[in-house]
Order: sequence, then structure tokens, then C-alpha cells
Amino acid sequence: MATVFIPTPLRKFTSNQSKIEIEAENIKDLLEKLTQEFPPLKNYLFTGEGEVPSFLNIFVDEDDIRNLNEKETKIDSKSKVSLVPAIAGGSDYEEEIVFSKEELSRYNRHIIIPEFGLEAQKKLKKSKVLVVGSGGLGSPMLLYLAAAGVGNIGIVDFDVVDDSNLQRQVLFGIDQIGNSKVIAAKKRLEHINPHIKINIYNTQLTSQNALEIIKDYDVVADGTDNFPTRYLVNDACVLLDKTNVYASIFQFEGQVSVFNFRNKNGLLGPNYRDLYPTPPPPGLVPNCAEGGVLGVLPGIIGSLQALEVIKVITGVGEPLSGKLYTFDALTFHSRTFIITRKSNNPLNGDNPTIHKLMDYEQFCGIPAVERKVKEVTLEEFLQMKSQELDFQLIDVREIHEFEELNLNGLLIPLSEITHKAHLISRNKKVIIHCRSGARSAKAIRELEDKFQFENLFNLKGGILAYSQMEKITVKA
Amino acid sequence: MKIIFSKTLLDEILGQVEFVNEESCGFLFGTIQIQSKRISDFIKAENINRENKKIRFEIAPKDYFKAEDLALEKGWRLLGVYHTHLDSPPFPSKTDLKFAFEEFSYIIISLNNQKFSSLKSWTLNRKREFIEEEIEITAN
Repeated sequence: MATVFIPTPLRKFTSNQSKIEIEAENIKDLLEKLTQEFPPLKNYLFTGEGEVPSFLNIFVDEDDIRNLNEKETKIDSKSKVSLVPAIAGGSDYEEEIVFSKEELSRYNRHIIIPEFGLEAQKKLKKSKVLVVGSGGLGSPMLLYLAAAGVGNIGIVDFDVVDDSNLQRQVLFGIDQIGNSKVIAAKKRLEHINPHIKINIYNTQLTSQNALEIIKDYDVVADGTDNFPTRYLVNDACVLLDKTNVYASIFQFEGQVSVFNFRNKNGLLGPNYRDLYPTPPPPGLVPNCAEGGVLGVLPGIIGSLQALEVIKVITGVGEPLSGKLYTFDALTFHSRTFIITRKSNNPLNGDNPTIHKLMDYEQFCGIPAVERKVKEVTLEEFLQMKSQELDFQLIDVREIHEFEELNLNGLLIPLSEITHKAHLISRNKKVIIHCRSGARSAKAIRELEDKFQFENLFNLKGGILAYSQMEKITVKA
Repeated sequence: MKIIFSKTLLDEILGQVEFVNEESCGFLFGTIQIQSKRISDFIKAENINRENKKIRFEIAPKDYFKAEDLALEKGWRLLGVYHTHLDSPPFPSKTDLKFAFEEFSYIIISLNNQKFSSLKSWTLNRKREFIEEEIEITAN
């Protein structure tokens, strides 16, 4: 019979015996017989997957079974098998962050706060934060994170700067209109703080690239304004065990929370799916482009988001984990709601069903591929005009947009298009346009679906393409 | 459970861990009472970690056996392990959690510029989460 040594913490399960005699052929056999005799030992000898847990070492005589034949290691009656708690650990905290004289002077107002100090500043410098979206929320957030000295900042955005962004997206100026947002953002942030690194991803965050991009960061801050991306960021953060600092805005209201945050005792907080298990029906909650937003609101909420990112990184204060903060700019009412983890959360509840990223457009009820509509390019449109061909031009933007600049088309805002379909010609080419081409495509689909129009063409790139071409021509 | 030990014992441990520019570690011995664990003795152990001793510690299994044997010989009970964190707070890290064992108390001593700054004691609950244990330091 082999002799098994039981360490102190497990003796309460073996009636205080430190040595137990067991007849077994190999370690696997021995561990199974041991748990048959003392069932509570099972949790300490096997992981859920049936492996030896990381906190336990098993020795046969003088050798760790990891250096022998693992669980198949043969034993005989003279073998001494020892169960040994792995005594190991450490702070994990690498002390290698140093500051130049310039940096120390730059961050002086942080360092002199007693509760913050050099330690917190070091954590900022060492940290890696990914900001998804550099728009209304991303602008103030990026400005403050860069200024605060977050050492590595990643920015994901595929958009270009548009004049209508400048009402709230304070990261950009008129010189950058038409330029890539991430490139413009990088330039501006490096101008504010030359001591940090900015990585840019000039792409849309998708189920295909999200894990690959997010995995290199410690904290993710979601500044996007659509549900598919919000669920995508949330799920990716839970799957990768990253904290997700969330915020959203609509018209006069904003909200902030910290999701998937592990506190100092190792306890995990709730995530977006604990707050909103399912997305709202498509179209119910408009985004900023559709519903509008008071420009200063993302300034306030994005700054709060930056604050939470800094708290999460430095461990200073109590992050908004397990809480949802809401702010109403009109009444100045702010409220904090408690959020708890739900056992039916499909990501990390009792019976998780989501183990990888999904198609979030489909999940949120948005058709993955919208039906294509017929198009004309700007060049074709101008040619038709110069050749004085007979066609009708419809503008589906709002009246204030029309008054600012128009192409002399008939104004029928998108919301009225189906009521005024009788104004649209059926026997000649009809070109429909909006600002960028999205609303006009929607209008064409509605008209085709409801009234079986066949003569509708979308102006590719909308009036935006026209005014950009004008600008280039003027510059030339 | 409350952890009780004397100022003298703490000073002895600090005498061995202060001014060491890597993580120090060792075993704690004593007795279990109704609502408390009283630490009466400790032994220092060698940190055999090979990756980075400034942020990791590891004790050789042969040293663990020695600690068990010593407890048997002296009639003590092996209560847990202490280790230092250099310039970082006395909270358990992911690595601490990965290797922690139920029942044991893990005392983390935080050193700031190699001088004692604070300490906390932790133990695992049934869900393998660290729970802080109250510490009482007696005069002697």
C-alpha cells in the first residue's frame, strides 16, 4: 500500500490523519480512491476539468508528477505520495516605471494629491486604455486621458471629421474636416502630451477584429452610439476579462457605469447584459445623428467616463462598478442606481451560453446586409445636369439643412416621404439625395416597398460629396 | 476568523523582510482557538521563484515538508504563509489567488521603499475568493 501524506489544511477532511494507506496503480487511480473514501477532498484534488489544480502539487517520493508521467505516474506499495499546497504568489506589480524631469513637472498637480501621488501616476503611465469611438464622448475622454498621462492609448474609429461634428467633438477643428478621425486625434493628443503613446485603428470594431484589438489593453472605454457595438464591446470585455467603462448620451441625458470590474478582493461586478439583457427594438432609440444631442452633454459625460477610467487604473476611490449613474442636463437631476449580477446572464451567469462573439447587427435586429438601391455617382449627376437631361431631384433632409445649402431639388424630409409619394415622378429618372446617402437610401427602400417605384436613384455620397468636391475645386 | 499575534513577533518578521529588495516569504505557526488564530512562531523560507523575485515568490516543496515536520515536532499548527509586496498595496494579486489554498491565512506585508508600510491578512472562502481577516496585534 502506498502512503499518502495529507497537508494540514486538508486534514479536517481526513479525521485529522496526516498519513493514509491506499492501494493504487497510478496517481489517477489513487486520487479517485482517495475521494471515494473522503468525498470533500474532491474539490481540492481535481479542477472542474478533472485536472490537478494550480494550487496543489503532487509528489511521488522526491519528484513532482509534472516532471514524471503526470497522472499516469505509476506507484507501488513502497511509494510515498505527498499532496503539497503550492506556496507561491507575489504582487505581480512591476516596479520599473520611471519619470523624466519633464514628466514629473508635467504631472506635479497629480503627484501632490496625497491620495493619488506618484504611485497612481506610475499606474497611469503603465496602463493601456482602448477608447472605442472618438466622437462626442471620445473627444473629452481622449483629451483628459492623454493630458493625465495614460501611457498607452488606443483609438478605434473609421469615420472622417464632418463639420456637423464640431458642435460637440472638441478634439477636432475645421482644418481636419474630411480627414480621418483617428489620424486627426493622434496628432492633437501628441500635441497635448508628447510623453505618451497613441495607437490608432482606422477601422470599425467588429466581431472579427474586436478580440485581437482589445486583448492588448487593460481597460476599454466605450464611447460609441449604437447598440451592436455596445454589446460587442461588452461581450469582448467579459470574454477577455477586461474592465469596460461605459457611457451613453441622448439629447439631454447621459449615463455612466463601470462593467466587468474585479475589485480588490477578486469579486467581479456586473456587465452591460446584467443591465440590459436584450437590445431595444431597432429604431426605438435613435442615435445622435438621428435624435440630436446638446453639445456640452457629451463633454460632461465623456469627462466622467475619463474619471472612471483613471479610478479603475489607479485604484484610487470607488469606481462605479455595480452602479449606473444618470444625469439629466435640463433639471440637473442625477441618480445612481444599483446594478447586480444576474444568474441568467448568458455570458457569465450560472449557465453561460455565449462563449464567443456573435453577429451583433443581427442580434440587435438590424439586417446585416440592407437591400442595395440603384445609385448615380456625383460625376454622373453633374453630367446629367450639364446635358440638361430630364430628371427629378428630391432632397430628403430637414428644412434647416436645406436652407443652409441645397442642390435645387424638391424638399421632402424623410419622415414625410411616404405621405408625399404622389409628388414623385413615375415616368422619368428620379434622383434622391440627403447629406451622406444614408437617409436617401432608406427613402428609396420605403418608396419601392410601399409604392413599387422602379425609377429611383440614390446620389452616392450625398450633398457632402458635392460640397467636398466644391471645396477641392475652390482650393485648386 | 481573527488573526492575533504580538508586536514582538511582527517586529521579528519585519527585521527579516525590511531592506530586502525582493519578495520575502515564510510560514506562520500557532494555534486555532474558537474564533481566532493565534500566531506564535514563524520561519523564513527561501524565495525560489525564477522569473522575477521582485514581483513573485515561490517556496520549494521540501521547505513545505520542513514546515509540516517542524509543526509536528513542536506541537504547533501550520496556520499560513506571509510574503511581502514591494511598493504595492497588501492586496492579493491574481497570482496570489491562483496558488492560494483554503484554510491557510495569507498575510501580505506591504513595503514602501523597502520599509514597512501596512499589512493585511487574507483567507479563501468556499468560492475561492479572498476575504480579509481582522488582525489584532497584542503588546507582547
